[in-house]
Amino acid sequence: MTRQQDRISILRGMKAALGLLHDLGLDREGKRVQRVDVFDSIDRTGAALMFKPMEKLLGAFMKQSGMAGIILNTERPLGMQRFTAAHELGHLILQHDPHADDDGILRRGPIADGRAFRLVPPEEREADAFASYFLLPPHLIAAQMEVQGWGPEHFSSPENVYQASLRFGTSFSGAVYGLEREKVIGAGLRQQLLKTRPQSLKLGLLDGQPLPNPRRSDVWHLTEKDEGAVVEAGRDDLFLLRLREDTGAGYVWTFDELWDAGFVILKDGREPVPEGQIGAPTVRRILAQAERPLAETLRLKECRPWDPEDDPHTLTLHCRTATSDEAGLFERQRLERLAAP
Amino acid sequence: MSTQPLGFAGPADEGQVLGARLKEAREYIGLKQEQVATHLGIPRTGVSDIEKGKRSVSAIELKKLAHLYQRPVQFFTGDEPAVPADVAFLARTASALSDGDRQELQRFAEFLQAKSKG
Repeated sequence: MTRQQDRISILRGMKAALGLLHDLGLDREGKRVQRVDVFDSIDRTGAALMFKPMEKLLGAFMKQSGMAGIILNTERPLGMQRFTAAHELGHLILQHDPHADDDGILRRGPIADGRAFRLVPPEEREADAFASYFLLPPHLIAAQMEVQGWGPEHFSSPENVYQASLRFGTSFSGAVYGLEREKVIGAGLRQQLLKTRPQSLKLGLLDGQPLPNPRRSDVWHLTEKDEGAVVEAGRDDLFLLRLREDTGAGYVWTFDELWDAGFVILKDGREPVPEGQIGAPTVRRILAQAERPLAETLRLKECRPWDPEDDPHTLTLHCRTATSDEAGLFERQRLERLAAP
Repeated sequence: MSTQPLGFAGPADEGQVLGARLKEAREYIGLKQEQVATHLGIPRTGVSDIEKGKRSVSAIELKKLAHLYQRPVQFFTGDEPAVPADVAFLARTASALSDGDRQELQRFAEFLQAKSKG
């Protein structure tokens, strides 16, 4: 396939993705900083969404008697499922023929222009581009960089790319490709980053604490900058909260809310203050794990214990457990008829 | 054990065939017996008995179950549920389609076919 044709395919995929984001209202103020809920988006198109354990396939887009459906492999991590879901949604929106996809779709960058891509059929290139732009639209990258205070230079650290990927709701490599696509990073850094194993990044945050399921579970490094964030986490994910604490003025973070929401605190401590900075704020460091599925808005408070209502600082997080390994119809589609009389 | 060959079930086994189809359809979409029982307003053992063919299903219950499982009533009562075209054609789109994966796609095609009528 020629470069010219390749560009046309990418453009078609991109236009369809940005168009659907707009139609679903996912590019509006307030939504721009949140990861795109691709499963919900599929549901809103009216297609059936099924999760089943499969062997080699990542997923498929199918159609029978006018009924469209997308099936995803539960035996893959959430980031991969979300990418596959977006790829299949691309086939649906672009009115392609039914298609089954294996992990070949993961090995292709959305924009990289090379010999390998000449072998990829145009419909696949369109669906690839659709998935890339739908899950990680330019506005989401820009908005997340703004709230986190990240400049392009911050992405030379794989730790930051990994944390960005959790907030984008993509895999680590998905975030790398997206950042390259938006020219935040170059091809050289992309190659270097893709050599990093996300597992080592997760363990690096844990200080020796074991990670229940290193391949599937993630470690969220949350700070005040995540105010108002949607934290869509896997069941075994861990949460490292690092929050500035004005101990000199008597302020401490209270974590009763964490307990109430179903978290257990695995570790609680303060990071040492650098010498010569007595009275400066310290950093409170909490490692927590969810004991049951989350569906809550957490409001953590930093206040003075003797006067909790006097000018407290708060951190609001919307926590939600993504059950990506449960077989069956997408939860909302399964339960909607149960609720009806 | 019955000596009757499969596929030639007599009237006595109709309840079992129906029960088995209901169980398969419930499990396929991932509902629990308990959730279905609550929906029908019967004890949980009721759903279990229906699926084993030990308890008969009323017409109203069957209608409710078909709606819940997103299939037409005939899917459960018909002699042979309508089978959609083979999904083998999808094999050309993925480099290696294992037998297990092909069966999973076939089941999904059947579900979509039934859902389009349900």
